[in-house]
Amino acid sequence: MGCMDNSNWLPRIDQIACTGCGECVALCPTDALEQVSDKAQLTRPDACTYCTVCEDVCPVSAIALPFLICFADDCTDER
Amino acid sequence: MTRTVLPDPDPLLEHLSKIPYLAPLTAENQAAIARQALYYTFEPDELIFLEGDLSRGLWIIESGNVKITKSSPEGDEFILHLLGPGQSFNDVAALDDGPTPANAIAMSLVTAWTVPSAVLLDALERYPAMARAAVRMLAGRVRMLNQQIEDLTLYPVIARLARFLLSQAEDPVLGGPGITRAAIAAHLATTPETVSRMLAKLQESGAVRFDRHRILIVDHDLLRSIAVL
Ligand code: SF4
Ligand code: SF4
Repeated sequence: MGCMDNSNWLPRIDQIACTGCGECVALCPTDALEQVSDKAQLTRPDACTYCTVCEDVCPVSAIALPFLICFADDCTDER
Repeated sequence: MTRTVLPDPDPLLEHLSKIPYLAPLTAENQAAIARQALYYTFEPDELIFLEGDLSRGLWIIESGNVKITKSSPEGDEFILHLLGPGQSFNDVAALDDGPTPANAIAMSLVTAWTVPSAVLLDALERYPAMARAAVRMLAGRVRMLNQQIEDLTLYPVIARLARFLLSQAEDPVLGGPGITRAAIAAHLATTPETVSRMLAKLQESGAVRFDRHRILIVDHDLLRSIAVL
């Protein structure tokens, strides 16, 4: 496995499954999401706080947030 | 799926020597098996095999992550295992030359070898030490399955979740591309909402802490006691 760059640890939006309902865009507390040509997109990734609101609210499960599970004293994103 | 000529059998040899039932073979016999392996590349999300497919043999992952899943009659995905580099899968079907017992799907770009069943069965006939080690491996598998049934029937979701978090943290290879709450839910035979609620409870108890995309185990002993371990 190579090392993971930071882009792995962001909400993943399935552009095919997304119906463009706009729920996630409306509820994202940091305005990290935007509607781009009728689909949700993470246009401001730096703003995302990983609150999981978008994943919880999406009616078609088009958003997924990957988590890394590790011991606090031995945690690195590089695998 | 792309099949290519084996680039170099040496890395495979290293992995083969760690597979419990191939370990008793001499280096020479292991090399003979490695030479008969086939080498494949899979794209992310590509199907490696479907449950019920004719088994190609024993798979060994060189790079990337693979999930082994079952589908419920309603089409929900239940993740049985998450595997990474050096780990093998489909042992059982390879050893009995029967159909594959579950689905295998690439979670990232995956390169993997497969040792055809015929090669393994031939080696089993020839080398009693390998046959004995294979029986031991299968017996261990039966015990593990018994344990899983026990977990599902005896322990509440929070204990199963605690066990799952510990097993993930103890085997960094599994961390790979990260795991979603939906995947954890599928693994524990529960719903993502329940997983979220239980994770919040674990955080309240002080056993784990969320740090953006990290679920950090901060109190190992507490989590173990919640896991009834
Ligand atoms: S995780 Fe939270 S902050 Fe990040 S995009 Fe989703 S709703 Fe916005
Ligand atoms: S809530 Fe889901 S379907 Fe609706 S816009 Fe967001 S990602 Fe697309």
